[in-house]
Amino acid sequence: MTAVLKPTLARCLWVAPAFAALAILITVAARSIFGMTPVLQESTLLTVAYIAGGIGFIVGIGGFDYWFTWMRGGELDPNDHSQHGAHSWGDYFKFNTDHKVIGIQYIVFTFIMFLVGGMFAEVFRSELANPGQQVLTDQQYSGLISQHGVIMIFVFMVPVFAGIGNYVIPLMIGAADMAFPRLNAVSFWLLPVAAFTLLSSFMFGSFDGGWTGYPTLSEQSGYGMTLYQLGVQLAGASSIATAVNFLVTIIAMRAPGMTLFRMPLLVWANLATSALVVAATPFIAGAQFMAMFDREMGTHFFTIAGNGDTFVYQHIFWFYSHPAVYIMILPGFGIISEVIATHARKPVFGYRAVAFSSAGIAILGFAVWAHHMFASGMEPWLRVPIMLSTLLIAIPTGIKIFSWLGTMWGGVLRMTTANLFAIGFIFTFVIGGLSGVMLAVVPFDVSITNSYFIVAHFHYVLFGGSIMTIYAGFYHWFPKVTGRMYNEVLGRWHFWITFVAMNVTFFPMHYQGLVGMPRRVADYAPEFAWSNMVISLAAFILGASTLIFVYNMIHSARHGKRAGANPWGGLTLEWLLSSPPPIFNFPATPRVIGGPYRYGEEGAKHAIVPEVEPATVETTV
Amino acid sequence: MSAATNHSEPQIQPYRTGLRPEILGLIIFLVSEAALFGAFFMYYANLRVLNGIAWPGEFNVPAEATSINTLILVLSSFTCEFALLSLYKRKNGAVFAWLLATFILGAIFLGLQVEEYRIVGFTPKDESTGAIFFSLTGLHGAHVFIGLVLLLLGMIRALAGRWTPERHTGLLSISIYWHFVDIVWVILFTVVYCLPSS
Amino acid sequence: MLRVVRKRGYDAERGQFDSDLRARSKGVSEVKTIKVLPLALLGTAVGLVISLVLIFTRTLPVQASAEAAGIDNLYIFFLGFSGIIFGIVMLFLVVAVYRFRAHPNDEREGDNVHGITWLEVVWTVIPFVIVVLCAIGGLMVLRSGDVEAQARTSGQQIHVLGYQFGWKYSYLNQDIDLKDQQTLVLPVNEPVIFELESSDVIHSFWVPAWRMQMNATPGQVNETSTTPTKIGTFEIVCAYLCGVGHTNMNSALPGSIIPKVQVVSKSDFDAWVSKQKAEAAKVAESSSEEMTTGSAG
Ligand code: HEA
Ligand code: HEA
Ligand code: CUA
Ligand SMILES: [Cu+2]
Repeated sequence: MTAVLKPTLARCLWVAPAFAALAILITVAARSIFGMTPVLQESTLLTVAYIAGGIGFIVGIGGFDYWFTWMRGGELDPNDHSQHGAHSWGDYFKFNTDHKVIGIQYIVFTFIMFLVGGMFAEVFRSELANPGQQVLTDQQYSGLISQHGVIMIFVFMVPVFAGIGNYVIPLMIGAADMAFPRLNAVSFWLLPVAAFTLLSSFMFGSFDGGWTGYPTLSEQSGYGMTLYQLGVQLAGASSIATAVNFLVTIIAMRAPGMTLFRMPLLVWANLATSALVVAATPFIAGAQFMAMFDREMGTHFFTIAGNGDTFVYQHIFWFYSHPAVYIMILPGFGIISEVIATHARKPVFGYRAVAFSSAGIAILGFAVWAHHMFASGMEPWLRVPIMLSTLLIAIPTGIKIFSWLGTMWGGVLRMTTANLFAIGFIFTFVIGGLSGVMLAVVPFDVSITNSYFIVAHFHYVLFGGSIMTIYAGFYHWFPKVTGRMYNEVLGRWHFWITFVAMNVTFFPMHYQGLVGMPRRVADYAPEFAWSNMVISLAAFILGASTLIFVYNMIHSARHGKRAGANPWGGLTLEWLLSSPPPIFNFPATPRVIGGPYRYGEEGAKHAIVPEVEPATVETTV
Repeated sequence: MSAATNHSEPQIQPYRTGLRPEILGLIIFLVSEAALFGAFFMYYANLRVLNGIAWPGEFNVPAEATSINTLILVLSSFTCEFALLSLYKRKNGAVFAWLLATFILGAIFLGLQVEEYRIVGFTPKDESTGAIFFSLTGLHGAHVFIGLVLLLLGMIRALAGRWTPERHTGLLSISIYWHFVDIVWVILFTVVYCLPSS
Repeated sequence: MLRVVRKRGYDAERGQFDSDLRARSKGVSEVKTIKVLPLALLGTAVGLVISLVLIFTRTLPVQASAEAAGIDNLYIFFLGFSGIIFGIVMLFLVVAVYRFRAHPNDEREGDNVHGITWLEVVWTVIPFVIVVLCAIGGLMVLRSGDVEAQARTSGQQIHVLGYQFGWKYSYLNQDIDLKDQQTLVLPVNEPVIFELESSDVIHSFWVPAWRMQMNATPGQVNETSTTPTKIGTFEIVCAYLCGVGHTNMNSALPGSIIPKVQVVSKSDFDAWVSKQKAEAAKVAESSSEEMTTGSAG
């Protein structure tokens, strides 16, 4: 029975409940000592149990073993790599410090969450397919859309990019691992805790305030709302930890010769994103802390009763959540730069402009939060500067779009599935971006805000933007990660069905919004009946197209054609290693001798990896 | 679990900054801590400055009493720095002593802060001003508490003789964190206690 | 492996992209070029067609307020430039895919072009001009919609209280308090200023036909205004998620208890007002009678 003592999931099974039970005991004791009534306050005990259980889970999986030794004043062995690298399947379910293992853990876990969140969408789309209410009650409907939004954003979109970055970035900059491998593993293992917290709120009637969870509605909700506030903070803590890790890795661990302007654009994009995460995410933590205190401790941050100001929640929330949308697209931009340059066999057009525009978007992104509040009754003067800064964001984004077109122009486009998704991305993202620009203009926004026009906008940028980039990245690095090729025919089917179904699903929503269909409603006026039916049918097809992808990935990982080290002829560092890469990445420190995109130059190289005897490859996927 | 000895060892990377990665990471982390305080300061500014809402009841926060407390905390920043200086001079006993002094000063600060909670005359449940007063100072108090735990760990490792001028990143991190807690307090004290209350 | 490596794809002297790789690789001496400017113009034309299709197929609610026309014009302007930008991007995308597609076993490399400064300047400046135009348009419409000051002196001043789940209106300058869920009646062509408030959670008062929306937030009075220009009944939609009754807080739903807003002529409105006042007086009388008889609980 050593499994229950060693750091494994089995150990979590008893450590987490033990922590939760201990916390409940302490709380009950404290409450009775200080004479608080009722001693067995259910919601307080649950909250305490969730927090302690979450910590217990991390302890159980082994997240703190190393630090416990440090705290005891024990001797540490900096060369202890016993938790590094996957030698068998089982290692993917353990606390592992290898950035490649963690990357795969992230990607697989978050993608499952995507399927779960998408499943919720399918359920509420079936309610919306016909006018009247057939499938869901109002309460269930709100619960599902809120879960859909929160799962998609906090446990899929933000962390999946962390996963891709985790796998690729240390390879791209020629590092052996991330700067803080253990912290890296802890930030991954926080995610299942966050997901559990969010999803288990279904036991308490879910949370039903939308993904924004505005008070004072959030004060009326059942206990599920507290779990939303907790879950969001856990996911936030995870993404801050990863961002710190990325920043240090990128700043301090580049191989010799890798100057800032020789970094691949994905690295630039992650640099900008991580800076955003570090500076913005604490704001949502703050907002959720306050809202949670209101619910659980009876404070009056946002209640009308005690002079509270519901309005500040919106400011603090969007001060994070607008930058969050760029957290969800900037790494995607980075992926697109890699994919297009590699598959078009051409240097990225205007490398510096593309790199700086990421930084520009990140900085401007802090100055536009209130465009979500044009109709909220905020100070009227604030609308004008916010409108201007929001409009300005179109410029750096446009620079990127045009630069990608310039990259393709005069290239030799290999129409792989990865490249198809990159091209499809440009199509759909521009539509989403243009509707965003319309929304930035105050009078227009005020005339249709909170309608399906908004839903159309953000699915075009989230699905048509972020998800397309994620698929492009998955297909692009699949051979590197698994050592095998995916099936191109299935890939093409996946692309075309997704692309068409995506447009049919989300385009009509613009019209619905303009004509007056509000969002977050379980029923609608009869005039929207046929358009909603079309949307729902397309949404089902969209969901089904995901299954093609899942099948392709699982099947090809086992039976696909062997890929070789460099199937795309990429120049960046990760392609100079075997597929999958050796456990410690580079046999010897690589030397970077030129830019990352020197396509079309005879014999050009980005970097040289000195040959030591080939490292043994044991990674299984 | 199989040992990884048969694999080629990871290469030690040449760092491209003067800072050690641990310290760089800590500083970046502290930026995000500052942002967390920023969220609460944002709430505070809206409530007290923009809307000019007064503290609950007849009370005002005890600025004079707390200024002594502020001095104590500022002093502890110096003692913490002395611990590092002694380490560079390889005086291990002094390291422990200075850390202990820092710890005691910090503990006094925390104790006085709790005492202030008792005498301030309102509770977190009294209106939004009460909530923001207690959450700002409480959030800071929690940081002081974590700092105390870290100092304690620093002392344990000092006793075990683990700090040397060559390997002192942990101690340096503790001191940077402690300075951060101190700086936040000075800002908090200025904004919450000293700025004219309406 | 044969690789045709091209050093420049852009011919600076002719100011054109010189990009027919296939011709080069086959040793054809005459190089076909794709001219960028004509393509951009073609893209503009295609885009304009897209814009016009969108503009003429647009299905907006009736324009029932003075502001509606301005906002709809703004929308037409958006569709105009959006279509053009979209058209240009798509045309270049499609042409690039068509012209520069690699064939199976095609081992050639692309042009080694790292950027063209003037082009980058162009595609920074043109979007800048467009967004500045957007901002100017937005500000103009915002200004002209500013009838609040006027409304204070000459128009109706309505206090709207949102609650779970309905609206309650008071006419501040007429001294009329309507009952819960009673229909809002307004005179045509007279500015109205709304003071929105909520007694519980956030609601949003949206009249799509007026192109007007404003949140009703607890603990705060939000102001917005409009000038109805059409007689008739119009939908009132609560646009912000406000709990289990949010779906039904929409007068467009069959069976909703929310009444539509009613815009009537000035004379009808005056008649309505006196009727309301008479009723209110009657109610007040009867309630004061009750008070004196002591039957009130
Ligand atoms: C990945 C996520 C993502 C991205 C990238 C964006 C990008 C943008 N968004 Fe979006 N947005 C969301 C996710 C995102 N958004 C979400 C989730 C919401 C709803 C939240 C909720 O309420 O639930 C939202 C809501 C939202 C609103 C609030 C609407 C409302 O509630 O009333 C606004 C208003 O200004 C807005 C604007 C913009 C703008 C101007 C951009 C710009 O960054 C777009 C820039 C891109 C382009 C413009 C296209 C490419 C450019 C060119 C081809 C150059 C030429 C173009 C011009 C000259 C115009 N968004
Ligand atoms: C990354 C973000 C993201 C993504 C990818 C999606 C994807 C989808 N979204 Fe969602 N959506 C949001 C983010 C996202 N959404 C947000 C933030 C909101 C706002 C919430 C709020 O108002 O607060 C929202 C709201 C929202 C609404 C508005 C609800 C309302 O206001 O009433 C609608 C309506 O149609 C919708 C539909 C869809 C559909 C059809 C998909 C499809 O793309 C889904 C495709 C389906 C799948 C990918 C699942 C496939 C799964 C299977 C086939 C089975 C798998 C099996 C297992 C589970 C084991 N979404
Ligand atoms: Cu009231 Cu929605
Ligand atoms: Cu935004």
